[in-house]
Amino acid sequence: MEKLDDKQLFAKIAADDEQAFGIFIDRFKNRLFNFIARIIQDKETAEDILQETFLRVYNQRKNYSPDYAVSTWVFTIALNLVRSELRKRKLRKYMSLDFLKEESDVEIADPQNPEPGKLKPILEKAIKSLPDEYRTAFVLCDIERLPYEEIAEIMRVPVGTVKSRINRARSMLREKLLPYKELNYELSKGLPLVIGLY
Amino acid sequence: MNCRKVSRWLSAYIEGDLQPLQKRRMDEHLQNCAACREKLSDISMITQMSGELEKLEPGPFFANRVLCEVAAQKQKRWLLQGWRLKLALSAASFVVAAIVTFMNMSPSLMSPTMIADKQSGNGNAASADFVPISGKLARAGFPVSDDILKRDMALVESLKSDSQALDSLVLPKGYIQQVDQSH
Repeated sequence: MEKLDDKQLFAKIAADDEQAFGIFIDRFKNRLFNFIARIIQDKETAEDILQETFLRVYNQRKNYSPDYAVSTWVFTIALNLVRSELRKRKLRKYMSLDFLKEESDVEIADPQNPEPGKLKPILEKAIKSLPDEYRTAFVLCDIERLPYEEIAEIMRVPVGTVKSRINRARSMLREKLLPYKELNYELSKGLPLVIGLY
Repeated sequence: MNCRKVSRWLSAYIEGDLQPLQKRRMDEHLQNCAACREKLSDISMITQMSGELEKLEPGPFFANRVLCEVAAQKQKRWLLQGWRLKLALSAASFVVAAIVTFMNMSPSLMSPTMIADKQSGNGNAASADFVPISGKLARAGFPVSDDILKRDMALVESLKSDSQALDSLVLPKGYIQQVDQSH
């Protein structure tokens, strides 16, 4: 059953095959968790949202339309739950008047003395500091490696909007990493072949 | 092409998503602009590094937890359905009981067989007081002709004395019309 493609596997789930649902969970849980946790930034809440995502998938298994890719449908359900959680957080923040505090920019490390080999944690923190919608587009594109068209379906925005959000997110990340001159120097030296590739 | 436009097209350039003419113009600009080259290089590296970030994973027993939750939800639904079934059965029993009680209180609504059963079998006290519908109408003040009244009472008496007559009993044609006409 592991060899079935997503749609064939889901057809079995729709026919109340619980073993197929177990395989489905194993197939999607890591990708979904990586996406949810990077947007929510809290592993415990991310796991709760992931569980709720799978429960909704199971409860709505008869409503799945094969016109869409299974992954698109599942990511859309997860994103809806993520957005709902983010809205709740914003409301809680507003109610507790925390919004009056000025948000400091991401504090990554001492820009003058960046620790060698610590570029990835710095990038992780910079990603966390992106606005929600930019972060979502960036994570789906550059971390989950989904195509623009699928991201557009998941986020329910035009493909052009997805492209511009991703481009903007990348530029914002670069700006956040710029203070680390030495790292940035390494970055610049890191991929001189790009221009030659195209 | 200026640096601002190049900046907007950088992602598309990295992913090879530009038209041939756009790409050529980008190449020309990048050949002559060190700042845009640096930016392109930085963004390419960020994109590459992002794909290499640690993959976050849920706890080890996550799949089992979800499957247990699915089973628990199924059980809840089953219990709820059972409760609904019980409720429906109770309602149906109540309706049946109400109908039976009503029929016992109104002998004129009983079928002839039921009347005979009552008389021959259990000796229900209600059979002794059986009054045909024409009699009830007369009691209620409706003008019912004596002929109809006498005939119905005679029929009831004959049923009381001879339950076998029920098998061949056929209500006289035009009975209802006669009652209506007598009003």
